[in-house]
Amino acid sequence: MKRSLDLTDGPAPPSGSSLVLPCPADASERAPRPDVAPARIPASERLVGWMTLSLSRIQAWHRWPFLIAVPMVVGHRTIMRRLNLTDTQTVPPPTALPPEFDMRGARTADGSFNDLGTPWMGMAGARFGRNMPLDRTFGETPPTLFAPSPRLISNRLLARGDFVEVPHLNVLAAAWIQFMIHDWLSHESGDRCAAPHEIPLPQGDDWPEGRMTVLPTRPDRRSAADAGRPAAYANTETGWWDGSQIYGSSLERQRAVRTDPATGRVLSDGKLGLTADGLLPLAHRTARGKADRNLELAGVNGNWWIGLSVMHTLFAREHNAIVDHLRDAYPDACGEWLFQKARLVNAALTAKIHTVEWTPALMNSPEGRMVMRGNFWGLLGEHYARAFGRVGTGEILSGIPGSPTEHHAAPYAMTEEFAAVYRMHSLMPDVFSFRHHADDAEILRRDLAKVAGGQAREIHERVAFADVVYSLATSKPGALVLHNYPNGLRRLDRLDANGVYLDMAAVDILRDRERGVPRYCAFRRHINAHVPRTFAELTDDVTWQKELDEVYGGNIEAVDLLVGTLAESRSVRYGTPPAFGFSDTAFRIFILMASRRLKSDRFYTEDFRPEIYTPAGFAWIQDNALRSVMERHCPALRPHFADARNLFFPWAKGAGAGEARTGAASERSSRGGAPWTKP
Amino acid sequence: MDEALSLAWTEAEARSREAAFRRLLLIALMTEGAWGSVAVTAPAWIASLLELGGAPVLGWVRACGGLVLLAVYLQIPGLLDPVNRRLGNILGIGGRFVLAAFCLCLGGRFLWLAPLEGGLGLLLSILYFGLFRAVLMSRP
Ligand code: HEM
Repeated sequence: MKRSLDLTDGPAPPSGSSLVLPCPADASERAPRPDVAPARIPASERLVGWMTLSLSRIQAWHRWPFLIAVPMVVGHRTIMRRLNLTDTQTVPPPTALPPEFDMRGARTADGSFNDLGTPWMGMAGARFGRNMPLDRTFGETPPTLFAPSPRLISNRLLARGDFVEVPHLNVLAAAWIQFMIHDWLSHESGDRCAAPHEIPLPQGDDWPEGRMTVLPTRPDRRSAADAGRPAAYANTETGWWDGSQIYGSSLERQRAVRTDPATGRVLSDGKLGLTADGLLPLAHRTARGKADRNLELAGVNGNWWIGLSVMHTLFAREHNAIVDHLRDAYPDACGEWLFQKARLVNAALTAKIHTVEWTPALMNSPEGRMVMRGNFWGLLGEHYARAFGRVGTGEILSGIPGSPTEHHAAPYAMTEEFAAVYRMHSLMPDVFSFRHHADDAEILRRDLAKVAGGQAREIHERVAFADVVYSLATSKPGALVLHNYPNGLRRLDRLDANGVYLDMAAVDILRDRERGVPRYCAFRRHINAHVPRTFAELTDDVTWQKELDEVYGGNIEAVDLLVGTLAESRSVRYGTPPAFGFSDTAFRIFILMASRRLKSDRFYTEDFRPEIYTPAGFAWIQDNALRSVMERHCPALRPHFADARNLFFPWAKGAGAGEARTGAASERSSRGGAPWTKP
Repeated sequence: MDEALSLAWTEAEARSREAAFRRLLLIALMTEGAWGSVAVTAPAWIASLLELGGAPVLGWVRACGGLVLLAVYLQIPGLLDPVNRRLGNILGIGGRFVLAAFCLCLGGRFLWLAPLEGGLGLLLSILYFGLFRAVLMSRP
């Protein structure tokens, strides 16, 4: 079923408006829960939406010239805000505010009270929403659940042959996106009470023990209000861009990361616990209780590997640097206040880095860069925003931060489809080489399994932190194309149960089907993108066309979302836009959700101001970027990234790197500093 | 390493495009400034050049000259810092197209001015857009 586009100001699609809020907190008693009705769409945006639909019938947005392509992206977002946000929450999770907590001026541990009228919105335990109409999201059941077998797809279409790298990115880019995903979302662990899925093995498959079983995703508890609706799943993390991967999504986890590993006591100065070497403390188990010797401690420490370890270490150090800076500015402030303000600032800094550094690195075209910088600073740009502030309340001229909060068609939530398009495991290399930054000489070489879980810490013990960062920053990630899924993840030792393996490629396919994420063609249909009618329209690669045809028995409609997004990487007409590292299909969801993460969040909209962040904290966000974070915490690496336009691009290798730029780079301020930052 | 990934290279590229744009804008403003000054100081000569008739139009010619000088003056910030003072340049380029269209409508000797202003507007817009893209691509 194709929904027709109605950009008029009609009634809102079903939202959580009928929900009863069992919230004891006074804020919700004072403020009746506002309906999440879409605001009036300005006539200009409606015009752009209509223009976009008309032009995209001729050719995809990225094939138009810049001055048409950029408004078309805005147009696609306008349309999707109207049609592609679906609420799934029938009974809201209970909220409780810690006594005397300043919910206006700080983020709660579990993400509640961001929207003061709807305090459960985006909190840990709230459901994933959808980007599809609800009636299109019933999970698949056998036999279609296994048709074609996810393992067959893994073997025939995904397994990595020769490593295909992305020449213009480094492995920090892969680590960064997983770091962000852990901030935004996670499903519950597999349901041990349910019968496991048994994935059919193709003939002759050498899978251990000749049987592949995967636990089903545990659905959220259903109530009478869920009758007739598809299963929904809870997000175990806060859905907000609030640094919950660093700070945890509960008070208990927050206390753990604030504990000094040396004394075992919560730090009273507002800092995060780090060892004397500036490394993360050891947890020896995941947040969900799975034992893993030497596993490091973080808000979220599942699916850990050396890249995540680097990101968490950097931003734990950054938190502590922010605390120092705030303490200098506000010497009388108590440790709790410093912690909360530093958390706000640190989270906003990661949001900024993601918006104006990571995403443009993966969308390395003028259009991509313009759209993302526009999201943050608007058409008037960074220089204007810093000099004169906002012009009006619109997001086009001055960007989203500081504009009014708006949830559009549904309460804020991460979505299943968003998680699905971010299944970018092909970014992971299979082999990691750790080298000295001074001369690029190899120290050790490890395969993927040996840099994962607790083994990441062993690398820190043998390789200096700066050399680890250097090694990842000078290595290339895998490209998001067919036949490039890391084999290390196709036979992943589950660690918690020796000898039990997972084929993540098969699991990725299975999860999308199980959770009712439409397959590729249906998915594209619902986001107003061109739907391929033949394999030749899906991809220009003739060999791939043949393989897809064989695996899917000639049925293009059966192509899975993940497979389609990887196959379209070689489609000039309808596929991955030029210089983009990910598919057009994924991009459509990103532009919707990347804006939403900012636009729905009070701390990036109405409360994105110095009064809430403190003037010193607000300035920190404006003055810093990944470059200054690196300069502060890895100053010895400065010559290697001095000439990298974007720190997610490959850094210069070996001695004498970037000498020409070193002077310029050191001119940029690098405030704070810590004992371990001495070169 | 791919040059487009290098900060030094992309910044140099942006600087060279900025220089090219500023050169052309300087020539344009100097020419327009000269025309404006002549119109203010010697309106009769301009009037005869454009076949505008006698004394009654001299005041209008002088006023137009003044407006041209004002427009030139308002574009000076954009000339000095074209990357950060964009409004003056965008309005200036747009204004040249409007002026070209206006001259076309007026006909007569103004038909000579139309391609001149239109061409200048086109060249400036091409160089300015190139500069805009180069600056954008020199950012992270
Ligand atoms: C060593 C590196 C990694 C490991 C070991 C790993 C492992 C896993 C595992 C075990 C799951 C859950 C599978 C299930 O549903 O049962 C998962 C889910 C996922 N992974 Fe990874 N992963 C890694 C890197 C990455 C990277 C680089 C990305 C980048 C985008 C990524 C994105 C995701 C996403 C989006 C999900 C779905 C999460 C959810 O729906 O809850 N992963 N990964």
